[in-house]
Amino acid sequence: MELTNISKKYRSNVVLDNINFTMDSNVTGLIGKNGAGKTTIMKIMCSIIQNYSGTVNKNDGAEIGYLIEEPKYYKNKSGEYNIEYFTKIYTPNYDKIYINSLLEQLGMTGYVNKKMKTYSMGMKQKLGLVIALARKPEYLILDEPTNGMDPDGSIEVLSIIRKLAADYGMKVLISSHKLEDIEAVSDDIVFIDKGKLSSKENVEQLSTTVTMSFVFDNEDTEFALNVIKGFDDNAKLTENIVSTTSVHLLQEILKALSVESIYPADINKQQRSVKDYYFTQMKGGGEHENQ
Amino acid sequence: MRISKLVSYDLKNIMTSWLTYFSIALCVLPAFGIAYSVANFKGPFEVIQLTYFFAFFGSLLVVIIAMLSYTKDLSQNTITLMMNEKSSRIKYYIAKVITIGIIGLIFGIAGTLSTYFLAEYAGLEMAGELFWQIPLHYVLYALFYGTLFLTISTFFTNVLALFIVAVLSIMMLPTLFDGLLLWNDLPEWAGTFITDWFPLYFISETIGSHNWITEHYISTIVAIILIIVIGLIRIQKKDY
Repeated sequence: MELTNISKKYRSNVVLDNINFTMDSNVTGLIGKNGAGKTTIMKIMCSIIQNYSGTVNKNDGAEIGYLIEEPKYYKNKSGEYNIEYFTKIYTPNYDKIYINSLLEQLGMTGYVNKKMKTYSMGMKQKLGLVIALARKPEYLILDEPTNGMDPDGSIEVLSIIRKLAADYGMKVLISSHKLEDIEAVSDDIVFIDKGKLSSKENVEQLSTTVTMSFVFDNEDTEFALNVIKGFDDNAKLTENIVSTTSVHLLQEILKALSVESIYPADINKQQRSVKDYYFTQMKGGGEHENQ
Repeated sequence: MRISKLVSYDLKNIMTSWLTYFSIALCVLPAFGIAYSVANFKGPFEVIQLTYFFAFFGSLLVVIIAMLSYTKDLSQNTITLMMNEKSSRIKYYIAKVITIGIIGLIFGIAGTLSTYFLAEYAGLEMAGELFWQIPLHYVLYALFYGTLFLTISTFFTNVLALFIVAVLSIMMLPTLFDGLLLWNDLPEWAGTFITDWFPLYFISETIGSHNWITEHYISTIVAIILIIVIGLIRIQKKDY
């Protein structure tokens, strides 16, 4: 699924500004702060929101399963009724074996005949996920699917999602505030900040990237940043720390700094995680170009 | 989306709901009272009073039951699971129109049968045309108000407000127009327009008496078509 120049505003408030990305890997993570525009992007992809500019291109006739914000259901009906209803109003192909297998994997078999108003939040999320999966969609859009689940339940659900994506060739877009969950399940991650696409990164590449951080006394920091930017345009400044991924140029950087009589108070080298990248991006990193 | 499946689920819910049978019983009760008085106390009533008293509750309950077929999706937010593709949105709307019509027919048949049996009980003769007028008028009545509020719900999704406006439209709006019709300075054409061509006035005034004229049928059908067209256009554009 390809999003091209997607923009959305409510009255004068710009919620999304020129978003471009393609869901081309099995699982794409979507990360951003509250209010960044994640849910709005997902609603546009599912056509729940119709008033926007730009285009969403997908395979003709492709089914989209989704679980956006909280799960939706008829509370006075059983889980089984809800799954059947929201499947059969779309297709006569109701694969009971497949659905029972999903329920079993999610530990919901014993609850499916009970009214949904008796379910806990985690159980409702799981039922919502089954509803989204029931028609074996080509695209699966999940907005914080592990909300309300205990850590074991979250891991279980994410591994099921990953396996189903591989087995059925589904393209999955998943958002979560739990960065470790996103990192564990995604192939690519899209970072959204204030309605704009910040960057799209491959998880494997992201976590093999090593970052070097130079700590400076405050008065030297701005000047040091300019020196280091001479070696790496993407060097970032966070308070009095300048970070760069040009680890192989350490000696050259130190030489250039010493010429200007600037000496870092500390130097740290670390393997980057999604969490590190997220906080760097959201705290004061610049914006990368849209893909 | 499958229209037939959506309609069949709606009908199953309606036919298995206690509210449906309670509503019909509530409609029949006042008419039974009239028939009882005729049968036992020689009450000075005709068959038309049976239909009037069925409509006493029927005029409101048929619309409420019809509205429940879609307001449940608004109040429980399940509508977002159905408002995905534009084609799904159109089919959802069409399915609800069909459901509303069938609900009107259920009340119409209940009204016809109860009137027939109560008339028999009271020793009154039911006019032959009532056998098709009652079901037809209830279908048109349900379709008019049901689709009107279905279309309004594509603009405003506050369910409580929808029901309040529905009750006020049925119970009070015709009375306001009655007052307007008494105004001496009202032009004759305006008065004729209100009584003959304005469904928001005449449709709840005549659901009891069933004395519809040709203009009533034409204006009601045209209004229903117009409401549906607006609704179909609007539902495709709405953000949920």
